[in-house]
Amino acid sequence: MSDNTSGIEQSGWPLTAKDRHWTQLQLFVVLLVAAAATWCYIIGEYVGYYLNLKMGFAALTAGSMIGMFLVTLAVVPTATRYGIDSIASAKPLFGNRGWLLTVFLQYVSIIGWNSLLLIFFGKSVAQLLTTLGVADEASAAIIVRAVSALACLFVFFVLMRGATGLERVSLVLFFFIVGIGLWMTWMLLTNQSDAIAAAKPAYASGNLQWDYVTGLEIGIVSLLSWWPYIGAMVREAPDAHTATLPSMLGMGLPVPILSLVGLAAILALQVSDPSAWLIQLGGTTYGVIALMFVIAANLGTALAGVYATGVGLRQVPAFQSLSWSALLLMALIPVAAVSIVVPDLFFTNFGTFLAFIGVFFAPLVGIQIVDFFLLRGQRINIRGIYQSGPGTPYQYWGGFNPAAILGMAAGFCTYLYLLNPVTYASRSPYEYLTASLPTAAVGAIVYLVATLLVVKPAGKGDYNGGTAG
Amino acid sequence: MADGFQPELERRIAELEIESNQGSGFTTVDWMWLLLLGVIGPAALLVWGWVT
Repeated sequence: MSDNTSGIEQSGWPLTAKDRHWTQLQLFVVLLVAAAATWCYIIGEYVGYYLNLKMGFAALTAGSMIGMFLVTLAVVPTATRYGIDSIASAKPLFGNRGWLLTVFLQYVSIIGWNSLLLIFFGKSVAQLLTTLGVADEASAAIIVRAVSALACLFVFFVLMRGATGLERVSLVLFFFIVGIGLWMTWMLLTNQSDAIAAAKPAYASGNLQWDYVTGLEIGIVSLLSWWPYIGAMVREAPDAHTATLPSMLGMGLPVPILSLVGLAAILALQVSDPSAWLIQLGGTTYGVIALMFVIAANLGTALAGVYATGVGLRQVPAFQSLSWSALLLMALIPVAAVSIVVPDLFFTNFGTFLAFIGVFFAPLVGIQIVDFFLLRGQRINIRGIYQSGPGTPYQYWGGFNPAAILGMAAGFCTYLYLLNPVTYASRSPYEYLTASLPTAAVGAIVYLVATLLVVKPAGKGDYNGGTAG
Repeated sequence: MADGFQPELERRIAELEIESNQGSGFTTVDWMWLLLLGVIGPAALLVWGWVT
């Protein structure tokens, strides 16, 4: 990849056919490294509170693949047809001002994820140094903060090379993450099979169907969080065909497989962090290997997240003249601030953060699928993506598409009605349908009806092909 | 530069406005994979997990 191409990737401009040369294997590696992070252990831990190993694995895997299916349908066709990222692909939905909502969602969600990952990274290093006797418990808090800050610097310098840096580091991390991940799974399942079989989920509700659907819901919501990440990477592929299997298998499947480690560990050992339980099983050497895995996996994901944020921020008109390094700093400074100032507070609220992200992304993917496949005939106005002001294709009313706002609001209310994302208190028919699937459906239907009844007849949104507004 | 775009952005947009320069969508095989991995597979997994 030439430096010129690297500069184009960072510009947020569309990639043309000659820029998009990633193969299925390259994309698979990058997406897998992006997906494989220590949040998987926490996701597995959450499912293990409600379900045994078999049911938990089935529900989580099914939910993850359904979530990935929705994200793939929403982003991949547009991103690969026009070489644009997730944020740019949302402009036809929300309007040339309303799309800033998706920038905000991407910014908050990826900063949140990266903060979590880098804090985990810092904790891993602190534990590694403590295990090796290099540091003591008292200095752990300082080490967490210092290492998180250093990790931010590392991410910054790697991503100064753009997608080239991301791809090269991913290749190095790929074999490490896959190999150690499989080894950890094998270790746990062979050494603790009896304890896993006998384990009772700690917070099972007494209603097995509710517990099962909750495992499914956790899987779906977790993978919906990939919406902001995936576009910046799949747009490097020349077409949707090249991106389909890497998306489903590279980004969708690693989460439930790695979550199996957290699920089995919480059932058998009541702790999901491998850097803790591997020391129990195999002593310091195993602990060091686990910690190295945590470090590698989290860095890969943090790199992908910060890169996607940089590309997304570039779409904001006020930031278009900023240098790539300035955009990276905008993505990294909040992460560094959270990691240094309130690492423990943020780390302990992972579940709430995850649920609220799902509340927003479920209606978003539903709306995007309906818009691209049913309303636009799988075409958007690529020029309109970069235009603003009256008379442009995605101006709608004042730059906002009321159908998208209504769809998001209807989806948001549906989710909150069905499931409280903080307490997990639910209302029927949650126990049959989950919360995120009806949310996506309601958001999509409201958007479809509002568009057909109001937006399209008014000649707005370029639905009639070439009609401005 | 009718829209006031930078020349390179204008060139890219003009290129992508030609359909043959756009990436193609999902093929029939892709749809089969998507349905297998995103709908049928999950449904089968849910049945397998539920049956004790």
